[in-house]
Amino acid sequence: MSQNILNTLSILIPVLPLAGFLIHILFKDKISEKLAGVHATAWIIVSFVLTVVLFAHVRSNGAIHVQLFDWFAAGDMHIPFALQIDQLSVVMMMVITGIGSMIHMYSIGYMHGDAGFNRFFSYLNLFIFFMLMLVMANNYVLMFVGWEGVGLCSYLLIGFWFKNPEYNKAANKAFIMNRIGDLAMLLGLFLLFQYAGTLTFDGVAARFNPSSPEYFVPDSGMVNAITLLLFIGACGKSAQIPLYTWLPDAMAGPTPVSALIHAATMVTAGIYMIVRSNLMFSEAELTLQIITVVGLVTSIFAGAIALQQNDIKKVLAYSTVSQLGLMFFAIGVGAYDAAMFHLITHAFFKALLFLSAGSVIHGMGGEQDIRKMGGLRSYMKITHWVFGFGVLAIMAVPPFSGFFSKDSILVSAYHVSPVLWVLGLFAGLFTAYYMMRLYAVVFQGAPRMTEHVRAHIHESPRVITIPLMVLCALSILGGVINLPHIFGGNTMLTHWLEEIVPVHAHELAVSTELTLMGIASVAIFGVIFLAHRKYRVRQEVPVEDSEIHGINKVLNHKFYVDELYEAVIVKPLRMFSDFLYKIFDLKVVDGIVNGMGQLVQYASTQLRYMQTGTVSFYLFAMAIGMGAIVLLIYLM
Amino acid sequence: MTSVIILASAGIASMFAGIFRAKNLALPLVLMSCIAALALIMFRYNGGYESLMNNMLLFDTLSHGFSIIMILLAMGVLAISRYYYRENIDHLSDIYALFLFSLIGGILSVSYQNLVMLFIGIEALSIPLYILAGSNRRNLFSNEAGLKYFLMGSFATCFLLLGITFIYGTAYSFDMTQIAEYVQSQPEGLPPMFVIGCVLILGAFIFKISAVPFHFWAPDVYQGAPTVITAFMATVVKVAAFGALLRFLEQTLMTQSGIWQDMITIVAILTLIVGNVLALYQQNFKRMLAYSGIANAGYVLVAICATNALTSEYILYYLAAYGIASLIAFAIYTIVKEQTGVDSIDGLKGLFAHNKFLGITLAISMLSLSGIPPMAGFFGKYAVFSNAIDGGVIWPVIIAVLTSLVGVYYYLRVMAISFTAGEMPKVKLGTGYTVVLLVAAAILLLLGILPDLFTSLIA
Repeated sequence: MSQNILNTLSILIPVLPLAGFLIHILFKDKISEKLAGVHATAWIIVSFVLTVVLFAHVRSNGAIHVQLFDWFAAGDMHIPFALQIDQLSVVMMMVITGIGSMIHMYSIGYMHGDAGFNRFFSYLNLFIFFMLMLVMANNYVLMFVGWEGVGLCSYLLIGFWFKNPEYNKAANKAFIMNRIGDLAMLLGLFLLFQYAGTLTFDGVAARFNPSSPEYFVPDSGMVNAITLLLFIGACGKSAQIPLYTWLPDAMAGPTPVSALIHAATMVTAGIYMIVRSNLMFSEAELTLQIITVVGLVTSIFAGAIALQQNDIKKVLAYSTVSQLGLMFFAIGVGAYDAAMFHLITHAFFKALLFLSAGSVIHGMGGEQDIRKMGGLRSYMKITHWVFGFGVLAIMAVPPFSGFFSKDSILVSAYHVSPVLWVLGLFAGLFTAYYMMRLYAVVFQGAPRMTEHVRAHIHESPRVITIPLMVLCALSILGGVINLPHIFGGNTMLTHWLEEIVPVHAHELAVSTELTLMGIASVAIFGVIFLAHRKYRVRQEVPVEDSEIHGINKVLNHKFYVDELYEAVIVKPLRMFSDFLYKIFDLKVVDGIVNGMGQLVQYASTQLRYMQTGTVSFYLFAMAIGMGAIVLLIYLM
Repeated sequence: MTSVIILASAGIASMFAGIFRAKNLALPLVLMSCIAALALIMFRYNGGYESLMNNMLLFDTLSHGFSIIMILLAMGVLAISRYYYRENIDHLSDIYALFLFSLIGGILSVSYQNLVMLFIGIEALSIPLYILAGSNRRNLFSNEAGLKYFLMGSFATCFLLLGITFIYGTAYSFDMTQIAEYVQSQPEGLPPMFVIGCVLILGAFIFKISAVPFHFWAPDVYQGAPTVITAFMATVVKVAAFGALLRFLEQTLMTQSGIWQDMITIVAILTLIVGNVLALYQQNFKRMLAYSGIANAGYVLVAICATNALTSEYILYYLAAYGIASLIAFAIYTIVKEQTGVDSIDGLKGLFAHNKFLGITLAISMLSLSGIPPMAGFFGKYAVFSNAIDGGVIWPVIIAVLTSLVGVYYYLRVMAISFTAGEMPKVKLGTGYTVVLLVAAAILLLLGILPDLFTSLIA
């Protein structure tokens, strides 16, 4: 294909969703719901098709660089407005547009009849645009534009039902927490520019690539500082300790939003950014250690919280935090390819789980408390099946997709230390337990909803179930994209990413690998069995909030982290700002400002007495003035 | 030169029109002649230098740019004067003629190559205005303004003549080229008489641009004179005087910055402070605009302190932005005053609510004057300040920025009051007003959004 066609195709991919957004926002009162939904979905599907075309091109000819124009130049800084479609970004683009189009289609059914239907789709299209900008940018600054843009869309969509003040609070919380991360990210970028002298991905990578002529031996303190700041930025976006509390609250948004933004795509931006900068991160030993610890702790912590949550979406939200932690854990142990692999499979099955949860909520008439569900398997057959497969995938039961991606993370961890392997597996056991609990309480056992609700339970329409089935197939089969050698695969994804993520070829002995896998699987099955006995066989139902005691109460209250932040950070900040307002602003600043104003006004009243209206005085002043000027010139 | 001839003929023809009772022809006639003159200047523009009458006049980029702005502003004033003089129609065609003669004086005084020509230009600019300022014969204030302006103006003329004499006495020539050669030939220092001559001439310019300490006449005359004349004085005359000042400095004293730089700097600082601070207190809209005119002269003087090759372009841009915005303000003041009797700033209450178009154009004008993007005034101030800083002029710029904050207060106060609720009858707008306001507001926005357009068109 000629460069021109390639350029056009590359530009079209983000521009189509943008066009969709503009059309929807401009004509949101004029176009019908049906047209808007179909139309918005069509843009994304076309984008997906184009992405597949580019994928084929990248596969045979390598990365595509599209230089559009120089965005800005200041001093030594030249920021191009340029796109880069390489092995890494094209994979992200496929995930975004592929899953994005499924979720768009699903939303046609899910949002049916909502007063803000057209507005919803316009935001959704805008989100896809910014997300594509984020992954298609060829430099950090342009990526940051996408980064902020998806943050904006996330904010708009969390607060989509803005008449509920709680939802607005959740939206604000997400926005503010992300700003904290973004501040660190910006500082990191400033430092990076100062250190490397460039902000394009290729340029930065060349500085850290020993085989490149521009390589220089990294100054480890500086590189640690840069990467640490970037990682804090990633923590905000990808909901890691300590900036994770916004994600569970973000479930206030409509469920397709939770699936698309808060599970499959936006929250993985942090992972993408670090994988993008992997050469630099590999030089920062301290940062990698911190990432390992933060990822692991987040994963276990969030998994533990999920054990005692009773809102179907909250369970999935904590599960997302936990899985993201696992991806960071993979990055920490240097397995960038495994992190990407898990990112993709997670996008499949978590989108599936959220969407089927949405289908449940839809069928239950808006109910989200799992204690009021039960026995749904006979009412919603398709949803039950696809949810079941999603659960198997996320539990890492072989041979579903989650098994392979988690296994590749664990194997990489084992390389670093067997202790990390054990801890990683431990985090996975929580997943198995709370997912089994969720599945059993919602779909098995006896129905617990009121008669009135039960009479109305229905399977969702086809526009909802078709995306579910597609995602279900992907969740089951997703593992093949990176099938390890011992199963006859050739780790396709790892090889695909080779140019961006150098492979450290160290294979475990087949017997060791099989043993590890065996132990992991046995442990997971054991946990599933425990949960199964408790929630399916004995049909226990989680108790009312008031009856939760002991450690469970702590878990149910999410370790009281929100309360802790409120007491330690929010309250003191409020008091401080109160002080600044009442004392500093009102007294000092206003005093100075008003004082200056009064001074000028006083001068004005005094000076105007010079304006007597008498011509002779004016003439006198002119003569004196002229004399003074002449004198001045000779004195100076 | 052809444009000057056209304007002069049109002026004479306009006077004849008065005699032959064809007054309705006068306005189209003078406007057409302005357009013709404008077209000629713009058409000839790239033709280069045109030295005339034994090097008395020179039409170069500087004079072209300033002439274009002056003619445009004069057209605006002419277009609104038809309504202003609707009841006093007897001398209307004479008034148009005087406008044109004054405009010619302006063109001559930015094109001179000889100090005698400068004197003729300045006088041709001023004398019609002495008459015009007093043209509202039944109004005592107008009479007072005319007389005051005349007395003060003749004083300034004395300065100018005396300065020219002193320079002739030392350099033995009125010719700018020869004076420049004389300056070059005195590396060890110029004689005091020459320096005093220059200072006297500069003093005359400072009077014309109404900068401190020669500003006292301005508020009284501006307030007393008929508003269209005030508008003419505050815009066209100021542009002409700055053009003449720039030419004088660039052609003769460029190398001798010791003589004028301190003087201009001090005058600039005084002007900024006095103009802005006094404008703050004014309750009368017209008087506030007079002080605003003084203050704006200060900003241009700051730019002149740092004169270099680009300065005249920036100054021209600044003057265009200032002139057009002031024209809008004067036009709105006139029409509101005439129809509702309001002449205080507080009287503008309800302007926006009942006259949307006037409210919006006034807002554009005030935003531009206070230097808020995307209006032209912002880029004018920006260009002038950054040019001055590049030229090493730091303190005057700091003072200019601080005083322009004071300016923001009194400009935005006008705007804020015009947006508050209040009773005001619907004002009838004539075609002339509508066109002038519309075009002027459009230019302010256009120049603000595309400042480079100005450079490519005029400077």
